[in-house]
Amino acid sequence: MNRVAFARRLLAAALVPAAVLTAPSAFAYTVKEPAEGGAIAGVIRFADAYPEAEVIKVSQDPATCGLHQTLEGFVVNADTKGLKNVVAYIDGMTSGKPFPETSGLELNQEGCRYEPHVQVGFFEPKALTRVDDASGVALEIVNGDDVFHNVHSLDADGKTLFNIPSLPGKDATKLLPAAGLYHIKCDIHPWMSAYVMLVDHPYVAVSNDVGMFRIENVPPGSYKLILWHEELGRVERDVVVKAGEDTPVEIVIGG
Amino acid sequence: MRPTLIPPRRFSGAGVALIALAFLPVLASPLFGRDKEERKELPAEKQLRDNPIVKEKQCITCHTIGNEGGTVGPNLNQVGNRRSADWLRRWLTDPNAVKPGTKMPNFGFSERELTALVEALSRMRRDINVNALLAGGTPVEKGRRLFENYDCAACHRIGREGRFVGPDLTWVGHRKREDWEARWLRDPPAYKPVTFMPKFGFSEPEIAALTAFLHDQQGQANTKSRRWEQTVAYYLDLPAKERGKLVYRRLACWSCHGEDAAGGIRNDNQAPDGVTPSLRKALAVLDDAALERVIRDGSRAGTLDPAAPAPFDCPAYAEAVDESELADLILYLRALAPKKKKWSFQ
Repeated sequence: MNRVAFARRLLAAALVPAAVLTAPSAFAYTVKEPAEGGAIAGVIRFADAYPEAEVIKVSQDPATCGLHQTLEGFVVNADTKGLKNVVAYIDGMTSGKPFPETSGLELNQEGCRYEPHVQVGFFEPKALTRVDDASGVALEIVNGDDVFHNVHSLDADGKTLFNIPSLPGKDATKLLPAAGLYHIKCDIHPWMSAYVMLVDHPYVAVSNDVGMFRIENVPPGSYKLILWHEELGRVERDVVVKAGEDTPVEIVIGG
Repeated sequence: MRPTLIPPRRFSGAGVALIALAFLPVLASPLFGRDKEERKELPAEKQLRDNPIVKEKQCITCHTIGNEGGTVGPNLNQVGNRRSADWLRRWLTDPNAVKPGTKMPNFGFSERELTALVEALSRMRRDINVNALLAGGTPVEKGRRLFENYDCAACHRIGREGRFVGPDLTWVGHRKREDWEARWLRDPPAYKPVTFMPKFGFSEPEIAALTAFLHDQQGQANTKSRRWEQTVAYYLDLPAKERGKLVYRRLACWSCHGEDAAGGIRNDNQAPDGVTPSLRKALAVLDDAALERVIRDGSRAGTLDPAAPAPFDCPAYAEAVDESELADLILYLRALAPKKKKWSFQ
């Protein structure tokens, strides 16, 4: 076994704080390309009526932030009534397709908004960065504004995980030490809110502008699919994936 | 011919004057940078603002230094009077370890930066001649001089002055008893270990004067003008429950019931466990009318030991809130209760 990888695994295991964990412990995943996988094709939509996007008046730095901000709690497509930013992942996957090649996690602050509002990342050995004694998946934080932001992450109980400054025009890096959900906000511009979901396997997707998502190349079998949305919370669906087929999942809200 | 023109002219003149009057409190407010006359800056204040670390980290986004800066965090002008070098170092090293959940980020200052900042912040102080401040005048006047000289407004608000880092004291005399204020001022951390309020080490004559001043604060600071919070809240057109949160802060409901009404603040001899209860339980059983009655008329705390000093009761706030504020406060409290969401997956 590769000694460096082993040492990294040990180090990462020692650094995982229990509070952050919603997924199984670190690096239980092994790559074993499925011979013929299937896909989970999902849609999350409202049956009929759907919530309007909330618009708030800006109380701080209007020159940079504008006079109004549209909150992204519910981003609903008017035609399909599909809901954006729902994270879907298979519960407890321990083997399967390789992790996708990614360019790392980035969170931009532009016009006092976070971009993207919701994103997923992969908690895997090769994605880990080590700085001094800390190790984790690097989140690059970019401030394109001419005002100061703080980047404050809280766990589900509202306990601070980290709170770092983000100076105008400067990049900062924060290592996310474990799989799980990170809520990020700015205390100076309290409407700013973003979510990063770190998953320790590659079977995850986020619903798009029309409320659809696809999880590809799933080994045939029975799974528990977990869907999470910042306003709606969590829901589970049992799915059976067959080789070479699409398994449809439809979540209809209301009605 | 003229006389026929005069009435409409007069009318429009009065209208303009009325509109101008309506905006007067807004224009005169600090929000528009036209607070009362500028105070004189001390050299240390200008030096701190020009300090390269303070400039680079843009501390004045949130903190006022001298006559400039934001109001998100405390005013730093007399921070050296209230915080030790040791405390400042601990705070700057890891703010969240000192005050969990604080808005202040961890800047990751180097040793060199820490030393420079602690040194510069420690110089942010004014000499307080206690004997001179305690000489002459009524106890309330002495207390006011102490309040001003210790710069309590760095964290506390009275009327339109100060900020919301600590409890709003506009009505403090209305809701606290003098023996409590004295006990608190002697050693805040002994009373409430997690408090952000430092121990100033006041002498007994100082405590007597401050207590007299605080007990005198029964809302009169707000009566001369439109209430500051209302001005801000209505100007910003906040949703009602946000205005309610300002009322919750202004009345300092949170000093006993905690942030977001979670309870758990020490109240000796209160049944069943010596701490204030979470309001969420009360919210579950009281309807709006009953809730309004409790806020207006106060309520008695249950007592553990009848022989021991009584616990603090919830005072009557009938005199302290108007109808619209009461409605906003109730909306805010209702929004705290575990709400049935309008939308759910099921």
